[in-house]
Amino acid sequence: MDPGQKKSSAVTLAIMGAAMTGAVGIPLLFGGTDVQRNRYASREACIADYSETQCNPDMPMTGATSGLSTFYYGPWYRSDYRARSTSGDAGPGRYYGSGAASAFSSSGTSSAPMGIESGTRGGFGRSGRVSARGG
Amino acid sequence: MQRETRTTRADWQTRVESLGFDFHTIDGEAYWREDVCYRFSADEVDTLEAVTVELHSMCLEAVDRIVRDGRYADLGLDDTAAKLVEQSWRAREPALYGRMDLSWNGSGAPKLLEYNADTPTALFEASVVQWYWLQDVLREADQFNSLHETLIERWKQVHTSGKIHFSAVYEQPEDRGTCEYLRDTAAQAGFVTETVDIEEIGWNGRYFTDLENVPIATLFKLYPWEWLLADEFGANIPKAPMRWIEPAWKMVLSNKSILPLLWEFFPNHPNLLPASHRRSDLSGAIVRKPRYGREGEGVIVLGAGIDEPASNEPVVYQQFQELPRFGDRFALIGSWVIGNEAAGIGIREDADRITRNSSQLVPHYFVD
Repeated sequence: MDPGQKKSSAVTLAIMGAAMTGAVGIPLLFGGTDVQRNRYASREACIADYSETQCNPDMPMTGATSGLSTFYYGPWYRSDYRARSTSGDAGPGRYYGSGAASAFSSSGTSSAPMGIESGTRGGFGRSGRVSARGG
Repeated sequence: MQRETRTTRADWQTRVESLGFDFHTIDGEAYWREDVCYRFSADEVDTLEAVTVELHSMCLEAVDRIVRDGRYADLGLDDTAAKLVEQSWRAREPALYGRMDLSWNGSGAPKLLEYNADTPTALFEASVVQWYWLQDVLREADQFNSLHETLIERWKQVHTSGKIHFSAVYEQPEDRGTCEYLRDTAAQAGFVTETVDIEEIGWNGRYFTDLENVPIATLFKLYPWEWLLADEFGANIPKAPMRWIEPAWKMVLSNKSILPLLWEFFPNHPNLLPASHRRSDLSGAIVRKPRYGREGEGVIVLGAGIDEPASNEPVVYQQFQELPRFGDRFALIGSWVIGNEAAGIGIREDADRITRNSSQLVPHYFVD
């Protein structure tokens, strides 16, 4: 690079323009929506309840995967799905959606979820809905 | 500083789209235009670089004085925001980037109109799109634009290890473009990255989490601090053990109320315009800006003696500085700060004297 040069010598892109991962989840409404997702013992069990594209393996924080059993999660859906129908919400899956008993499968041998993970989402973003963000 | 007419590349849409620039046209209007460009001399670029570094240095000194003297009320920051500012400033949390908007026509002293220090956009366009334009059109010329290389190096100083989450309102093309480009440079700096839309961030009672419910340790957010704090999850921010990029102290600089404080701390500085929270402190034509306005939103020019409309939010007054006019277009220089370096410029044009999100980005080059 010329010592006085003020432009980058090279500009290469690694991921720009590629399909984004994440940021494609559930459509959320304003204000800290309680959501949940089902946990499954196997990918097959999850797919039986949802679909292939809606099932993701558990992601350990450390990145160490060897020797760990891998659970699968279905998509997030609103916890109040029984009380209200929300367009775009993935819903509880076929098992709960069919009115099946809510008891969890302890063995993981059936397609029934092993458990439910809960959280709160949608607590950021309200301000961005009414104004420009960048500058 | 001259504006030149140039022939556009015959396949320019294909070329810029191949870079991932899919928002070159917004709502049917060109956002990127290359039928014109700006030509600078090397001396002019040196001036812009030196002024940007000096203004940034003054801004850091201003933050230090504000924290030291507790001048948060002048900025409209409440106790929660003030505490976050103090903690991040005293911890010396490093900043990644910012963009100063300057009014300058190549002569006299460039004037700072404002500092977009928290969530500036149009970075990808300045760093990548205009660089490739230069390669195609004026390969032998130089450009004030080392943004790409400087960003990659800056990430290595801002972050040490672990995953970096990136968040924005991804349905907005400009925000997505800026955030994804910054993620790209972080990846090139060697870091693992992940995206999560700002609305999809979760809270599990102790941590903010991503879509996999993994606690977020470091978050780059293209979402203003004042909105984070105003949103429902804002109350959780002080409790969350998380690193934010930009750091909370950037709240001081992205706030238009920094302009009167800069004028107070550095009176009559040649690169500042007189500014105040009281209109009566200024004379002649004045610009009124909302404290948290963005993309020209709410900005009005007030002629001397002209009554102003009421405002529902705090405002700042700044002496009016006409943007340089080239033909029928007003030009604004966005001067980028990466870390503490001046690393390049992007120029936006508009038929109106107030630059807005509908303004057009135009490339530049310079020669000795």
